[in-house]
Amino acid sequence: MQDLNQIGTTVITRIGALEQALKDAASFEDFHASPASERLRDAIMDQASSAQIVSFDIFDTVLWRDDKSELERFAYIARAFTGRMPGHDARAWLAARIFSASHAYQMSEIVDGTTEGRLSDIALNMMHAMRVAGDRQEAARLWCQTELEVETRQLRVAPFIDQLISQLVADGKQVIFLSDMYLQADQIRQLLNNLAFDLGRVTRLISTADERVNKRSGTIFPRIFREMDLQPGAFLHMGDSLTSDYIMPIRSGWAARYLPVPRATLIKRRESHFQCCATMFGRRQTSLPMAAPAL
Amino acid sequence: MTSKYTELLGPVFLHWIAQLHDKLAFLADTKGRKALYCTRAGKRIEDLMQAYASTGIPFDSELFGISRISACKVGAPFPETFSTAHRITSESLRHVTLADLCGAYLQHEWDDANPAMAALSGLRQPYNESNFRSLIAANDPASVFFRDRLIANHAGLDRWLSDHLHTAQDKRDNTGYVLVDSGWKGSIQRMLGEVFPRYGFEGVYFGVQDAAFMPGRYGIVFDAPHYRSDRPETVFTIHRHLIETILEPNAPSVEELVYGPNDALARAQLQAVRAEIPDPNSDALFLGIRDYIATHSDLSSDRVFTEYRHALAELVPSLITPSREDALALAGKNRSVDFGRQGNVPVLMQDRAQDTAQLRIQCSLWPQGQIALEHESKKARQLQLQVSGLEDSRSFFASHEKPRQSPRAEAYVVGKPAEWAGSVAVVTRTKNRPLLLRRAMQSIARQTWKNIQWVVVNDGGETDSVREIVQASGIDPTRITLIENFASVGMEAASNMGVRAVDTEFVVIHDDDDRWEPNFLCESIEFLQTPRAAAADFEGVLSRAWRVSEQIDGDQVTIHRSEPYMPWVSEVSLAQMAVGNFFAPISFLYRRWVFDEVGGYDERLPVLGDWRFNLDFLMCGNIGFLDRYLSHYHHRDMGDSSSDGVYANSVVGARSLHSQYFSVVTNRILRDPSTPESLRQVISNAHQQRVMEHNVQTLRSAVEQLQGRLDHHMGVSWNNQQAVLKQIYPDRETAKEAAKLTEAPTLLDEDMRHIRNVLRKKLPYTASPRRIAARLRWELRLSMMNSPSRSQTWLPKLFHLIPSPDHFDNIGYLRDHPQIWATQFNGKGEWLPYHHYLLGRYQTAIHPTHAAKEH
Repeated sequence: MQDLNQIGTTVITRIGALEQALKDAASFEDFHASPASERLRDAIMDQASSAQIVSFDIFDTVLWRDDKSELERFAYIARAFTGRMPGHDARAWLAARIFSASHAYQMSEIVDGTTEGRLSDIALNMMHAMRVAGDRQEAARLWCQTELEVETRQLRVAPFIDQLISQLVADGKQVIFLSDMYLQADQIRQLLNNLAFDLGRVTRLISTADERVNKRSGTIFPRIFREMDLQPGAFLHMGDSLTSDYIMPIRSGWAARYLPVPRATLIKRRESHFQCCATMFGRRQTSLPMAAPAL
Repeated sequence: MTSKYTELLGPVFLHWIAQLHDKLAFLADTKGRKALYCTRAGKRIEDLMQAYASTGIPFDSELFGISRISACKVGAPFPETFSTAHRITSESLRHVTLADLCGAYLQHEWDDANPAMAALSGLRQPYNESNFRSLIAANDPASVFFRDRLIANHAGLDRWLSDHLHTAQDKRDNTGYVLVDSGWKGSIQRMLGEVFPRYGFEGVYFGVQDAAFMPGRYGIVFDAPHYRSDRPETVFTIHRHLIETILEPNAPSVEELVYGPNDALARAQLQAVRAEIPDPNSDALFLGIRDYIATHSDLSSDRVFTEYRHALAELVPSLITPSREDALALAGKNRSVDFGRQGNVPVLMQDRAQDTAQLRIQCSLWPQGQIALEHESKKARQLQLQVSGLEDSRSFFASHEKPRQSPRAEAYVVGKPAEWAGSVAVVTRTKNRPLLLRRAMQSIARQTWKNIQWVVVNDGGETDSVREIVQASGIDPTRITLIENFASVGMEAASNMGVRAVDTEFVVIHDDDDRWEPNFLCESIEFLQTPRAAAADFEGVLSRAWRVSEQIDGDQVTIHRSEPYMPWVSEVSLAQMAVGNFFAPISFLYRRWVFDEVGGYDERLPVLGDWRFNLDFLMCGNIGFLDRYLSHYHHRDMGDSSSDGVYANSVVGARSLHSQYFSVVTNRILRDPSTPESLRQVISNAHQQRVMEHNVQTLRSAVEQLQGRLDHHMGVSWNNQQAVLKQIYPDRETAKEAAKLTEAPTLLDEDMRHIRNVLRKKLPYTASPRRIAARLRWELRLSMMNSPSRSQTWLPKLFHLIPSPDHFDNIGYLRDHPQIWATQFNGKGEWLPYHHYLLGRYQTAIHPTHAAKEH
C-alpha cells in the first residue's frame, strides 16, 4: 500500500504509492498484471475489514471504459443513430447531444442544492432541438436504446473489481454501487446484465440520475447512511474520481479508496477528444460545452 | 453597411434563439414551465422565435406586460420583499427625493388635485432605504394611499399569473413560469420569485452580467461580469446596449399591470408593444437578423454553432476596437429611459459646444465607439484597449516588466516535468499535537491551489495518530509524504528533511499549529508569477497574518482574540530583517532554488533558524509583499498551554532562548569569513537601530503611563455623575433639582403653541359654561405640563384633537423610531408619530422638521 524508505531512524512513506502506480501504469490491464495489483487488493481488504458496506463507483471502476473520449463515444452513437433515423447527419446529432446534455446539467431539478441530468430528458430535448417530426418521445427512446448498445460494446467488466466483490461478499460484506451518471439505475442494470456481470452480489444500485443528489457535491453520502441506518464509519467507498469518490466520502465520514484511471489512458482519451473535434467541427480546440478529459 | 453587420450578428442571434428554444423545451418537459416573454424586449424575442420555429414549438408561451418598476410595485409594500424592491429601484433612481420616487411609481395616475398625492409630492426627504421603508410603514393618509396602490398592483399581478398559467391556447399542464428577456441581472425574475415563490420563477436571457450567483438564472450567450479575452462571447459585456437596442420595440415601457389599479392603461401599453412596427432605418439590424434567422432556421445544430463561433471571432474587434464605420453602424438607436422617467439617451454622444471629447467618452454608453468618433485610428485603438481593460495605462511606465527570471532560476527549471511548474511543497512539522495537526490538515485540504506536495514531518512524536490524520485528510494521497523520525532531529533539520523529500517549484512551511485562508497558496503563487514580480526579482512573497491568541484545555481549543500581526510591515528589506525577524513562516512562500542556494535552514540553531534563513534568502533575492490577510499565526499565550509542554510556541514558551540565541546568530554571521561585507554592515547597523528602538519604546511607555493618569483625573464617568452632583450640591433638595437636568426635556415652546392653537379651534370660548370650564381646565393643565409625568398623564387625552404640524417630519421620525411602527403611534386610529414625540420619549431636543433632517 505504501512506499517505504527507511534511512537510519527515519522512515519516509509515500502515502499514495499504490495510487501513483495505478496512475503511472500504461493501462488498467498493465497495472493489474503487476505485483502492485496484489498489494492493492491486500490494502483494500485491510481497509474493508472495519467496514460493513463496501461501495463502488461504476464507470471506470467496476466497468472499465476504453480509450475513447466521451465525445468520440457520442459520435459513435450519433453515427449509429443516423442509420435508424435518417434525415440528419451524425455531426448534427452529436452537436444536439452535447448541447442537450449541457441544458440538462444546468437546468435539472435542484435537490439539496445540487442537480443531475437524465439521459431520458437529454434525449427528448435532442428531438426538440432537431425538430424531429412525429412522436418525439418514441424517437428519444430509440436514442437511449442506441446509446446503451454502443456503451455495451465499449465497456468491459474490471476483473480485479469483479473478484474483489466476490471476496467481499464471501467475507460477509454488503456491496452497493453508487454512480454519478445520467443513466438511471434501470439503464445501468441493463448495461451490467449485457456485460454478464453478476448483479446478485450487489444489494443496492444507486444512480444520481434517479436521486438528483450526487457524489461530487457530497450530498448523497449522508442520505445513504441515514437510509441504511448505519454510522458513516461503516462505509468504505472506492472509485476513480478524486473528488467524487475520495474527498467527498471522506468529508462525510466514510472511509475511501482512490483508484485513478491510468494517466496514459487519460492522455489517449484526451487526444480522442481533440481528434473528434477536428473531424466533426474542423478544429481540434473547438470550444464546446463539453471539456476534454482532464489529466 | 447593414448587411455586413447582419452577417455578423445573424449567426449570433440564431445560435441564441436556437439554444433558447431548446432550453425552454427542456424546462417545459421537466418542470412544467410556461415561457413569459417580458416586455419590451420580449416582443422582439418572440418575433425571432417565430422566425426560427413557426410551428411545433414545444412549450407554451405568452407576452408578459412587465417592467422593473412594475415588478418593484408588487414587492415594495411587504417587509419580506421590500429590500429587493428598494435595491432594484435604487439602480435607476439616485439622488432624488421621496416625492420623486412616488412620482415615478405613480407616474401614470398622478393627480395634483388628489390630497394624498399632493401630500406625497411634499416629501423632501432624500430617497434611501430607511426613508422608503418608513414611508411604506407609515399610516398617515398619504402613506396609506401610496401603500394601497402598491398592494392593488400586487393583487392584479397575482390574479394575472394565476389566470395565465393555463390558457385555452396552452397545450401543457404548466406548473410555473420561466421569464425570457435580454438580460442582465435578472432583477424582475428575482423580484417576482420572492413575491410569488409558488411559480418557481426561472429566467433565460441572452446574457447575464452579474458577479453574484442566482439560482435559476441562465445566460445563453454569456454569463460573466466583464470581458475576458479567452472567452470571446463575453465581448457583449462591453456593448450590451447593442443587444438592447436591437430588441427594443418602438413603444414605451409597460409600467402598469393588467388587473392592477390602472388596468386599462396597462392593456393599452401592452397592446402598443404587441402592435409595434419596426422602422426600416433605425431597426435595420433587427430586421436583418430576423430575416437571417428565418432563412437559416433549418441549419443543423453543429452548423449553427460553427457559424456562431466564426461570426463571434469577427465581431469581437468591431466591439472592442471599432472603426468609425463600426461605431456608427453598431451604436443602435437611442435608449429610452424607463422606471417612471421620460426621455431617451443616445448610445454615442453628439458633439456639443460645451463638452470635451473626454467628457463625451465618459458619458457615452459605449466608450469604445465614442473613442472611434473622437480620435484618429491609432490613438483610438490604444484608448479603446485601455478602456476595455486589455491594456494598462501603467504599461507606459512598465516596459521593463517582461516575463523573465534570474539566470539561476532559469537554470533550475531545465529538465523539470510540466507538472513541476506551479507545484508547492507544504512542509508540516509536528510532534505529539494531533489536535492541532488535524486543524492544519484541514487548512491545507481546503486550499484552492491543488498542485501541492504535502510533507508531514513527525519529529519524534507518536505515530499512529499522525498516520490516521494523514490518511483521512481527503488530500490526494499521491501528494502526501510522511516522514517519521523515531528520534527527534530538531525544528530546522525537520524542515530541511521535509523540503528535500519532494521536488517542487515553491516551498512553504505550514506548521501544525497555524492555518491559512483557502486562497493563500493561489494568491501567493500567482503573485510570484506576474511579470512585475519577475522584474523585481521577487523569489518569495510575504502576506499579512492574524495573530491569534488561543488556549488549549484537553481537546478543546479556545480562541480568545485575533489581531493583525505586525501591521506596520509593508515591504521586506534586508536592513529591517537584520533588526529582527518580523514574519512567521506560515506567511512566507518562496522559490525552492533559493533554499538550495543557501543550503537550507541552519540545523545548529534550536530557535531563530527561520530568521537566519530569511537573512540568507535576502542576500540571494527579494521578497515581495502581498497586502492581504491570508494566514493565521496561532499563539498559546494564555492558560497552562502557554509556557511549556507540547502546545507551547517556540516564541512564547522559549522566550529566553530567543534572547540568548540572538547574539549567537549575529556573532556567527559576523565571524564567518565568507559573510559578504554588505551583510556585516547591515547586521552592525541593526544593532544600533535596536538600541534606538528600545529607547523609543521606553519613552513611549512612560508617556502612555502619564496619559493614563491624566485621563483618570480629568474624566468623569457616567457612574460618577451622581457623586459629582452630590459634591456640587451638598444638600438633598438642590441635588434633586440638578438631577432633573438629566430627565427628558419638557415640551418645546412651538409644540405648546401648536397645542394651544388646536385647543382654541377645537374648544372655543362660547356661551356654554361647560365649554368654558373645559377650555379653562385644559389651559391650566397645559400651563402645568412642564413635568414629563404630567404631560404623560394629560396629553394622551388630547391626542384625538392634535394633528401633526405641517412641518413635522413624520417619515423621518418613523425612520428613527422603528420601535413604534407596530404600536398605536403608527396605527390607523387617532394616535400619530407626533404624539409619541410629544410624550417626550425622544432622545434629542431638536424638533424633527423636514428642513432640519439631512438623512
